[in-house]
Amino acid sequence: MNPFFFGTSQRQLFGIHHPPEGVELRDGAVLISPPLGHEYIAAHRPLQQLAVRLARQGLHVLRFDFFGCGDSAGDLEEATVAQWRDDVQTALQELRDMSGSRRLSIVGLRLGATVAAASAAAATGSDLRSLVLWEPVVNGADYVTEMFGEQRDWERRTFPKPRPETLHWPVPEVLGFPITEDLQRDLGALDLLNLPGRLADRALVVQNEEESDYASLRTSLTSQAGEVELSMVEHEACWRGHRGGTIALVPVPVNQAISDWIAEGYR
Amino acid sequence: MTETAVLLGPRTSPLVGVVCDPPGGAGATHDVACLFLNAGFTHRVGPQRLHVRVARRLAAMGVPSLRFDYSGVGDSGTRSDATSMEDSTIEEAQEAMRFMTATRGVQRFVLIGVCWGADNALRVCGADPRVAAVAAIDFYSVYSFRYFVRTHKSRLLDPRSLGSLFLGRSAAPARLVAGLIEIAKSRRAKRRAPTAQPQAADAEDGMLPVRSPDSIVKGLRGLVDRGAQILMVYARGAPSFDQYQMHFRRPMAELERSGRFRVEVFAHADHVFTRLRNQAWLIELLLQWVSDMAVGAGTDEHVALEARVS
Repeated sequence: MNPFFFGTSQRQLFGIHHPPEGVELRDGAVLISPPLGHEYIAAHRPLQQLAVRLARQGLHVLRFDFFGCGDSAGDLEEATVAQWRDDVQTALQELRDMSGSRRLSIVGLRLGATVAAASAAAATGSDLRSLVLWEPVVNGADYVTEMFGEQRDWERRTFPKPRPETLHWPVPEVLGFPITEDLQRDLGALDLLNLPGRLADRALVVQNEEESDYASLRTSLTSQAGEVELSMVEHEACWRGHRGGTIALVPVPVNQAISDWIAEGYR
Repeated sequence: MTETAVLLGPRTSPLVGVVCDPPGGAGATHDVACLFLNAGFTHRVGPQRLHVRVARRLAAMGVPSLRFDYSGVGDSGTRSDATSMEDSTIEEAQEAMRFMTATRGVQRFVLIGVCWGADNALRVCGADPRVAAVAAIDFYSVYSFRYFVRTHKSRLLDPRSLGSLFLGRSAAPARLVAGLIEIAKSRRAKRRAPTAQPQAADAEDGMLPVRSPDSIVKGLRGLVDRGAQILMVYARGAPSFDQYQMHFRRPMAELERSGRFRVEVFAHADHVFTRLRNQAWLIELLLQWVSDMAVGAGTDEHVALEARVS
């Protein structure tokens, strides 16, 4: 495990490289694309454990923080979705250089999955081997509505009788993170069902609950990936620590399913 | 400001950290540095990225810092030895201090911790004289019935949680039993309080060491007597505020007379200062307080630091 900063000096991104372990080394490398805000905090350890598991499958793994998130440079108020798409490409290039492999895959969780897919779609001639969309945000506008709904629920639960003067802050916020109006507009324009271009040789959508959006997503992905799979794996939604779940709870069944599916793509 | 990713401790199971240096970089030497300790299982960036934002503002003031993950938390691996968490949290903080001394010449440390981090910061301060000051944010260590009710009230009143309970999909019954065991342990600890050692845990379960209020006060008095500066920050909307009111308000008011102990209560804040408004106030408080620690109030350097903070 090697923590480091990469990217330009004005836009340093934090990453952790997990070199391959075990006896069977594969010619392949995996980028893990994390979610946003409170979901990023809650899912950090589960994604770290996923990286360890993938490295034990003989793969190079890179985890990173988007600009304005985690240990990376900048503040969330300055972030844009277009920059985050570029961050994915910067991280992929870093992974290519470190691993020496051209056979790259991405595992993205929640918004991390959506931004990674949007980035792959925008890149000319995406050469991704595998793409895992783990409970992805399908429609950005719905996601923004859902986030602010969670903020209202949290306020109601935590401060049942709030004083009006405590509710006003110049920047809209969701569970402790500033989500500016510009960022809301950016997020609102994301639509996984209408991405142009090719995404990967193979794609896996991992879902926890029946949700019609994912069936539509599977259908739409068939024109963008050679092989598309939709997998239902029951697990604790580890990124929902604020909803009474346990922060950092590692969903072993889903980590196992993802790492096995990724490894399968390198046989 | 420059940030550097570092690995600390044994090569077989290193701890992951990020050093945030003031302009001038890692080459410069400094008298004081801040360490950020994990808030429970939240990794080193802190709740809502608090540690990152405070670290960068501190660097702008000229104070370096290290935020790192304890073993088994965030990016750090797990320990393979049999050291208890009570001991490893002290050992690993000392490892972080050794690193900052070896690489930046730091001799004095200010520890900042939220929740579990606050508890650890105070215990490290009790164990190591290099710790000159501790900011303990929403510290709690007493498990009482009122605390239990406060912690679980929102879940007990949430229709979704009740639905899960009736469908048998809830972990609440197990938590209830665990909570009642904690209360029993706490009461037993209270009975044993006259013989309790300062800063020694009376009982421990997972990350939450349970101590009697008397032993905690005794421990805090010991830290103040040896010259450490302590800032206790409470959030009125958090269960720990009940503990403060029930057990600590009066003894802490006495400690404040020493001039080295300070209590700040945030009226409309929750346990981890989720609202942006509260985060902003907390950050300003910490920067102001650290600037006092770093160079001492009233000096020319302090006046310059104050100007940079504001």
